[in-house]
Amino acid sequence: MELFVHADYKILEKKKIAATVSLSLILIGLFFIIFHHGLKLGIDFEGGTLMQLQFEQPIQVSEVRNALSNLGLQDAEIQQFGSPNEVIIRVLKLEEQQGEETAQQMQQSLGQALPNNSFEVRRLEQVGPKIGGELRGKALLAILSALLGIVVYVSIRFEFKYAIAAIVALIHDVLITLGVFSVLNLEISLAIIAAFLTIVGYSLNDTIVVFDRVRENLKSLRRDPYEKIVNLSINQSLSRTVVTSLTTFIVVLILWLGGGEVIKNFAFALVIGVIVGTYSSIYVASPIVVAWNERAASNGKLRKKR
Amino acid sequence: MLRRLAPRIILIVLAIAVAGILLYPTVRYESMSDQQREHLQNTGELSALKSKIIRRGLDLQGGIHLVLEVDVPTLVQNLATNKSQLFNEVLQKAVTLSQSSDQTFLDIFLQQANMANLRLVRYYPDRGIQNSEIVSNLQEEANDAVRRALEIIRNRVDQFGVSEPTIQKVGNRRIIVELAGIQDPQRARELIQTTALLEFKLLKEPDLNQSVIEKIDRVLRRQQGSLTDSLVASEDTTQVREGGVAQEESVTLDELLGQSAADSTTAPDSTVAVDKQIFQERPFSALLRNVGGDIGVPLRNRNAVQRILEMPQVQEVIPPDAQFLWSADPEVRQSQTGPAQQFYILYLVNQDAGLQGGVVTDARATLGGTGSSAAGQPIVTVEMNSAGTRTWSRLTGANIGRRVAIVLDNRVHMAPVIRTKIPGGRTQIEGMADMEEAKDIAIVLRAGALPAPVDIIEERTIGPSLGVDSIHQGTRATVIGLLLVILFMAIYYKGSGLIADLALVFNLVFLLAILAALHAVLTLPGIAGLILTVGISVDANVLIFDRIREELHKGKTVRAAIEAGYGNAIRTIIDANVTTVIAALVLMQFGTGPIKGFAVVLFWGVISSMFTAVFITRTVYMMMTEGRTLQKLSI
Repeated sequence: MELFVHADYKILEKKKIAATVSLSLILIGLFFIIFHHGLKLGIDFEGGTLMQLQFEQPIQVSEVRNALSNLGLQDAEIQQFGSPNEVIIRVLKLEEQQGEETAQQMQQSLGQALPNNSFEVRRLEQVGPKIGGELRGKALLAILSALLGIVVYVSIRFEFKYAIAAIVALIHDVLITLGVFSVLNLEISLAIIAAFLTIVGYSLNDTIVVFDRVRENLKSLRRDPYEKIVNLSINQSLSRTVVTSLTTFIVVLILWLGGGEVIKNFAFALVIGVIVGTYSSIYVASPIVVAWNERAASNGKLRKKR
Repeated sequence: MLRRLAPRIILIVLAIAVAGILLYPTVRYESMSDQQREHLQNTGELSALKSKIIRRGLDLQGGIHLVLEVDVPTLVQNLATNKSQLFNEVLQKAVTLSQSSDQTFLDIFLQQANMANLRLVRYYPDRGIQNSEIVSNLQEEANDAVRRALEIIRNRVDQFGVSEPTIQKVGNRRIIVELAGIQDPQRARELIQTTALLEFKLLKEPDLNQSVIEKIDRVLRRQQGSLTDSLVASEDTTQVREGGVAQEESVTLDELLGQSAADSTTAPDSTVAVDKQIFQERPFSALLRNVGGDIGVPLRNRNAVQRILEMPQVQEVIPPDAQFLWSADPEVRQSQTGPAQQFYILYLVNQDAGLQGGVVTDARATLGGTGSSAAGQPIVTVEMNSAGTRTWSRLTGANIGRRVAIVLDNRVHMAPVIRTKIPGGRTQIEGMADMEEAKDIAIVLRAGALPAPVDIIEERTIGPSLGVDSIHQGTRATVIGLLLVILFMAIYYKGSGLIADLALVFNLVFLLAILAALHAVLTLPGIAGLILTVGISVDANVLIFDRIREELHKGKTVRAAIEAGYGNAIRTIIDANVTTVIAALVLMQFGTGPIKGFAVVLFWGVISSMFTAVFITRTVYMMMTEGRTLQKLSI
């Protein structure tokens, strides 16, 4: 079986459509982040308590909420988790030491209110506000240093303009994924940050394969216009891009669907990341390189590209 | 051609052999039944095996992860005397400021004190003159508090029976505790947080030791049903035998405890080492060895002895005012016949503490002064408050020549002999092997009065059932993902796809072998990393195969197309993989626990895929084209 043999799609001609699609996705995401839910930072970053309980019999969220009503935890978020017997309770922004008490009180209240439905604490996470602040700083530092490392590497191996194009594509990917998380009101935890960094690495992988082809073709096809060379390079790498994305997509999709509740959001971020990352290496990174090249040429800074 | 091929094949076979050796312990451990594991536990081989396997992270086996922090502001407050209004204000301000600052609390406290012209010497008379001197002294106290807390926690963690606890100091105020596989996180948390209990307990006379042991022998024999009571009153004067000289043989717990007594969870084949000369006569004594006059219990027998001591019939024959306590750490003794053995010491002590450790105000390790009995030897000097001094004076005066055990949370750290009456509270303990041991004992003695609370600032607890579910689902997702990718590659690239599949399977094997070699921890995100590696590691082959197809379309021969395909693809493969490696390295640097597990898997997965997807597949092609000309390539 062979796909995209001698593929010759006019990809760069559709750059306006692509730009519109990308920008509207980013704007919708930003709208939700700024004006709607905002980003839902989890207890890792805000500090707080997370408790996952498995009851013996099916349990309603409202039952749990009623049982906890006298504790003054109006902001507690209670969700069904996986099976009908399981719930997850999140209480954010607790003071230092308050978390311990809260968890104990919750367990007592639930035990009293639901005497016929005993439960097991399957997961209990408590993060003090100080640690939360530290983790927030660390996560930000991690993302920034990864981006910096990539700019440096791509600048050395290619040219600065490729590095910028790659970074724009990456920011594009992360913004869209963040937007999806905001629209669906999913929680951003430490694991999600790890997923973002993986998306960054993965999306770049695709982009670089195309750039590599561009560099190679620039040597053998000097006479052709730059845009044509880039378009040819995308087409030549198309089969590889689609096949690799497909295999990666298959595995993360299975992880999302069957990897268990604990890792579901992490896998979901990867699913979105693979889709967006593949799209951006074709429709975002390359058009930016071309546009940069054209502007530089018209400004007369670049007389002849190699 | 063969000359090029032979070294490659040797390298690959070698790599597979090494991977096999590295993975064997993991495979062996995972395929063992619980009973076999308990057997190894009793023979002491389990920890050796466990140090060679891929460990499971807390999120997979269940467990508790705690970050503890010493409450320095409270420490500073507790140590101050004659606190004034101004002092309290400065302290309060420093507390508020430190919550939103990167600087340490003590640095801020010093700045604030200087700004307010607060002379700290008024509140801390014995810690220097200058404010800066006093603050660095307080810093030393804070560090000491962390060390003491560390010791208390170490001392207690043993009670959970956790095989590989992690107890780590991070920075200068924090302690990370990780206990894997515990069933009752609530109890663990409480035990770690409660105040340490330091006690001084008098040892019972050695005569009583002997008679209690003989009584237990009798109880056990009755259990075994092999002998009647009348035969037991033996006047045998044989002492418990010198360590190592005993002729040992292995006996099952069933034989030892009698069929009915062995509880159902006991593995039928778990054995203990007994002294066979006296086993029939005195089954309990047979488990014990004489270690420098104390009752030594070989490491391997400890569980059995503990179980015997817990039996109700045995509890009945132990005098009500006495109890058996274990030593905190095993002692290593070189035997005359065999290799060095580890022994726990069993002490029979007064049930009631002669003195509670809260009275200790200070304990320091030093060298004995010239002219003293321990000149130049490491010693520990202990200071007590006035109430403690009175009790201590009475206790030591009445019991000269007896031994007193230093007990922290029910474990004996040392049992020195009382030489004289100690009237002034100031006590000197001698007999430490080296300065390290003296320092450890001093920390234990200070642990009874921890000056500052230790707060839990982060906690992550995973119940064991959730961990089991995670492994189950994670493994299933990996296997399904792997099969689908293998199938897809075989359909899309036919014969060459199968070569890539081979490389893919090798990649997983090598990756797991590397994890075992690094003694790495496999976490749930780590499993996700494995799955992702499956998806990404075919990328190199996809790049190569597409290039080969291109070259074939151009009309090149099979061998030339393969040459050109690898040649053109290799640079792209390296460039593309470096980016994933950068992301993985950053994650390793900043991530903690589970995330780090993910990064490690991703990093090594990419590295190992370079070997499998490029080198191994290339070698397979070389073997295929060796000595003949392929007309058609299945790709």
